[in-house]
Amino acid sequence: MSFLAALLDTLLPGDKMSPTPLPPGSGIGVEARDLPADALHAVTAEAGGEAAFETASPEMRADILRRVEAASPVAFQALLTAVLMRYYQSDAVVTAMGGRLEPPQPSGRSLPATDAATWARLEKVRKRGRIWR
Amino acid sequence: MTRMDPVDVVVVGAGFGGAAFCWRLATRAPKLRIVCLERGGWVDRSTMPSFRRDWQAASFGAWATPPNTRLKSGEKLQTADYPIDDSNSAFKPLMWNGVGGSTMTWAAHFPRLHPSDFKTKSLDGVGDDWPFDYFDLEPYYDENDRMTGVAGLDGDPAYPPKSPRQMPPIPLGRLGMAAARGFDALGWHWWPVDAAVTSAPYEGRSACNYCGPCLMGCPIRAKASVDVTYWPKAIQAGVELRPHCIVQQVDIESGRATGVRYRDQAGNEILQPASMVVVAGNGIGTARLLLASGLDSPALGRNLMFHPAAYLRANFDEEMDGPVGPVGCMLYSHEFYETDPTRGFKRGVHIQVTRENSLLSMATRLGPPAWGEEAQQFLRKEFRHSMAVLVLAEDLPEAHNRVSLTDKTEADGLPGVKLDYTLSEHSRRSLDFGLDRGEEFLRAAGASSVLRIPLAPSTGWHLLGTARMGSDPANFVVDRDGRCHKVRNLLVADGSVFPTVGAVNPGSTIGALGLKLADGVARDAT
Repeated sequence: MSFLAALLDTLLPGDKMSPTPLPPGSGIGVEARDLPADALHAVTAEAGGEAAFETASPEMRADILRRVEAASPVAFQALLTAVLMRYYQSDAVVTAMGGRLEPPQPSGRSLPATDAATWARLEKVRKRGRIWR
Repeated sequence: MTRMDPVDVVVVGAGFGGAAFCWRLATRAPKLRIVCLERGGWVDRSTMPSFRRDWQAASFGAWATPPNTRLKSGEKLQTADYPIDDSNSAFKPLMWNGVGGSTMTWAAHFPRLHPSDFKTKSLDGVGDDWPFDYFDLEPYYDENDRMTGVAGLDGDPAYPPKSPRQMPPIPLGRLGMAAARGFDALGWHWWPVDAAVTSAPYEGRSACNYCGPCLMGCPIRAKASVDVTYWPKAIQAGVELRPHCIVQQVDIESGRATGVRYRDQAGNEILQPASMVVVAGNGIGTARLLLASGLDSPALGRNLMFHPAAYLRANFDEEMDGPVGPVGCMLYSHEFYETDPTRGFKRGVHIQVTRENSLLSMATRLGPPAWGEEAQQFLRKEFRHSMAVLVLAEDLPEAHNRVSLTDKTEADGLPGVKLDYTLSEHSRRSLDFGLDRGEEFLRAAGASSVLRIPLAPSTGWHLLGTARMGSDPANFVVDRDGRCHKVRNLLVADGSVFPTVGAVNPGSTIGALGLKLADGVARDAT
């Protein structure tokens, strides 16, 4: 496993939930050039090199990232945001989460009509009378 | 410097206050020559993110709601933003600097203040009374509603009877119906919100198709931003709107405003003489310009008020609507809006049930943990199954909460601007009370889990109070007509003039106030 894949999969391990498993972070085509270099350097520095991070256990990788997050919160947040932006906009992830791939416009979306029971509940509120002063 | 022909009135800022003021004045005093200078431009709706597959990411770049985020994004912007030093502020300012102002990216939740909000001093011994009351403003609320187009439901017992809403309420959706069950179980007040969103075609605007991301602009003009409501009518009535004009200074000589100096898009320095100057740049922009212009008023820039905000996120086993429909426009409760002395604080809280945000927005607000298996599994459970409750408290005026200038000159030619804002103990108690009630409600509605977010820093939409309205020049910047005490032909027509702010969104009141202040000017001019 490459350094980048190890990093992405630690941030976003995905799951195997049926019938729509979430892919791991390395499974959506994120490349190193998409990510802030200073944050990547902070991770390798904390790990003692890319190879050390690659060969570390999942728990150790997570621990390394937590230390980077604590020591360099701005850089780490920039890294995380960059990863999340690509991950949660990818077709595979949006589909697995039950979202819609089509952009919001021009087709829009729909809301169910408010049912009679809800309007009846509102009538009780109306009948309470004035609560303003 | 180029000197323009003198005009009767020059207005600075084309947001809600400036737009309403200009339209009303032009229709009431059609002989006046009115020019509005706006630092930003018109938005090209074809560029709005909702048409794109990568629309979710836009909220982190050119369509982010904080100007500081937009500036840092490095993207090409449609706004004319300036940096704001918010490092000493509990809330981070949000605004849109262009034609339409922050209505371009607002949620369009459109409540009025309550009658009691105008009398907090006399009723509850806190804050200050407004120089007029709800019923003085009521006809302007009605007119502002008509110009805006409000979807809502008549008969809300939390308010005096209002004029008929222009359109039926926005559908509540599964989320709203679940929320109604919760409020009903507790016997609390709830009501569909007044929304500045079309639920049916209105005055040439199409009905909302519930696409979701209102905060990135509405490409179909269903959301009532003032670039599609007031401005076309104001321009038709004769107002000249000049975009991309950044006002550098209001010229004040011997206690009178003589005009403004501005920089146009080409960088030309221009003098615009005027018989009257009206500033409508929001609680930060207005204070910044007037401080830079040397307006003599001890209260200027002070008493900055937001609406302190906190929220709860709850998960439900049942499937909800997902990120569908106007995010801030569903229903609310004012069960606890008015003062109850047994609570240990004065005034009350606004409890608002909101719709889901985009998947990416939800992912980026996770935490801790914000990443890893636990975070992903939480989002799995949350997306399409969640309900958020926003709690707004009434901010009270405190002089130490303020807008001030820095020593730096920014790229737009004006001094830098800094916020100092500390959350008060009163606000903290109010929010904690509201969070307790919100959690009680969510449990009653059937939530399987509830997460409390004790403070929501990125909610600084409501920039209010820095040029407050009142009779004492030592404590207030403008009088009941919006005229500066020290410079009588210099007015402020935006949320800066609010003496107190209630606990609800201010847009409706800013618009109504703009109309009322314009009537005062028209009356004096004719």
